[in-house]
Amino acid sequence: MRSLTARTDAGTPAAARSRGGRAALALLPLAVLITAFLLVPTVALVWGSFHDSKTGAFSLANYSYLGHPLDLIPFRNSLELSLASTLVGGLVGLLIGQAIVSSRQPLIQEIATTFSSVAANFAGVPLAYAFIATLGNSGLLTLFLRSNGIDLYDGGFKLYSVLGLTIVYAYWEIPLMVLVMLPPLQAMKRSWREAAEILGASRWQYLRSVAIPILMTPFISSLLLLYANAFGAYATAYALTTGFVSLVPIEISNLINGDVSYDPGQADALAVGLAVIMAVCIGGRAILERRSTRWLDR
Amino acid sequence: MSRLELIGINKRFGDQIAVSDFSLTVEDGELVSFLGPSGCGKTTTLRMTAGFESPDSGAVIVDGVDVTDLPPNKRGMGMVFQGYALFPNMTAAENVEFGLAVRKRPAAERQTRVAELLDLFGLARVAESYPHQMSGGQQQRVALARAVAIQPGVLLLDEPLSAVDAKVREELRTEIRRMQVQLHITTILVTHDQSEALSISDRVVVMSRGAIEEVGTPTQIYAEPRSAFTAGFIGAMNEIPVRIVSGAGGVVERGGRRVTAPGAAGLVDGDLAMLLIRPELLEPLGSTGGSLNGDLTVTGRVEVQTFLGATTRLLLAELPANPDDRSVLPAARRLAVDVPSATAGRWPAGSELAVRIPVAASRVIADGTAIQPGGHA
Repeated sequence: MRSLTARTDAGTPAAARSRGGRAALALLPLAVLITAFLLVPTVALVWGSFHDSKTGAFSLANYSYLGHPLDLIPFRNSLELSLASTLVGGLVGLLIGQAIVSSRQPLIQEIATTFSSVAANFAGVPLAYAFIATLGNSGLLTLFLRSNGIDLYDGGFKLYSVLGLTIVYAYWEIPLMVLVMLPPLQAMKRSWREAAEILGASRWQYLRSVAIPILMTPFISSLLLLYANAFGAYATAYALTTGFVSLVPIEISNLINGDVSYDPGQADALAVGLAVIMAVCIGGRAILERRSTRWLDR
Repeated sequence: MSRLELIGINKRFGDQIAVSDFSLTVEDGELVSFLGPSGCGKTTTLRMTAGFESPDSGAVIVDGVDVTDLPPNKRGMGMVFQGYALFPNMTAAENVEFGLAVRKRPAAERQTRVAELLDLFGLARVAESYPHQMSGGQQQRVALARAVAIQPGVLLLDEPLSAVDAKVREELRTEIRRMQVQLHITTILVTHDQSEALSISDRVVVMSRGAIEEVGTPTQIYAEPRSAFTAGFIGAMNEIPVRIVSGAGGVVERGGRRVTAPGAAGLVDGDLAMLLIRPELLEPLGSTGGSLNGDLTVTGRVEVQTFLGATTRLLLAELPANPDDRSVLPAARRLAVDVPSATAGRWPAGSELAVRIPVAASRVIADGTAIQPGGHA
């Protein structure tokens, strides 16, 4: 009877409350983290964006940039740069990921994963200087090519431009794509291809009807992650262009740090716009991931 | 003309022999099972039949045509994979339709065929469901329907029931057989489950270490195994050491008794041999034994009772009947004795029990062809 009683106790409301209390306690550090580093800054950001930074009065003036094409240039540049680097990183990363999976060599997969993990996080000032030393006006590769009759800069290339930034961003976007696409690529079952094949399908029919539809969801989801990643990048772009290319994060920085253009309220409004774009990307990715998980056992 | 012929198939993976000199003829409408432990080469043989692997030598013939060098999509075969391999982005109906669609059959024909098959397999209710929304049994039915939709000349089933629970497995294997007979499809079933193979096959191919050990009907394989491996692998089997007294006369000796036993003829006089007998054929005599009439007996102590439903298995540790005998003849290992569960209470653990060994129902094999571990009772 004692054991029966013990089992019954485990299902009582009091026991359930106790378990719930312990679970809440375990989540407390996460709750503190989210509150301190996400909720409070977001609320402060939104609050600041709707108030005049000099008078403190409620105002919509900080959002006036939405009505002025010139003021939207940072957004346009950021959108274009993010789109270009996402497409380059996404497509190249997908091909590399597929090549790694196709190799069926655990050692290659391990090395590739390790390298991708490092490269995907190698951004910021060191990366910018590495590219300046390689592809800058007097970079090693630039000089080498010049000595062999190929002058990149005469051909119109500039590292300190949106095109240059796209190349630099691709440096971490490609390995990031490899990292996020490897699990879905590895989860593709060989038996799907074989089942299609024995049912009479050609390779193209299998790709069109089975593989591409299954991989499309994680692929788009990964592109959204890459896009958000590129859109929010600041240090690399600033170090490379010293702020001369107008991007949203750089404009926000100028509005906070600038001697001439100091306007924290407008910086908040730009940051809200950036946050909305990031939220759309991350939210879209979360929705797609749920669907992808149902199809691919990962 | 036979529907499928596998002639002298050999396959190696590096230094490992996967399949060795495998030859088999399968008649039209026959269901043949490849049965054996993991790594015995049964799936490799099936994959070579399907065209997913190429044999190092040998030929695959379908309806008299050599298809050895044809790709899988040109062989006209259907296959159900272990784990089903349903396309997760398609509904049940779309999965069934896939083979017809890639063959560019007219839409009306496709719809009719899909509806027929969904009905045949009891899938009409889940026609618009995706694989992740279906139970394991439903997914298995969809995989079967998809495989037969293209009206294959040969249907290949690679452990199709390994991913479903025991009850569903029993239902589905009956359903597979019903479908196979109804559609008259020549079928190869790969399984490591002996009850599955014995219950639905016309013939069973027992495989070991890449080679065919034995081919026969389920009854032949179970009741008259020709090899020690088959005897041990199929069902529970007791091994009782005996000595060959007369190889010419097929006479063996144990416990001072000499009897004529099947399989003993031709063995070497004086050699040790193994008498094989199924647990359900041993007859309890009570605690003291009784009239033998040309049979042998073993006396032992009941160690464990295992309830199996209608029967209960008694595990018997043999007691030496004659200490002198022990010095020349090793004792039997633990013996399994199946008794009706209604009477099992007579022999509780610790009690003594003598059992008759009906020698006519046993088979003697030379010692040294030992049954693989795990195959014993």
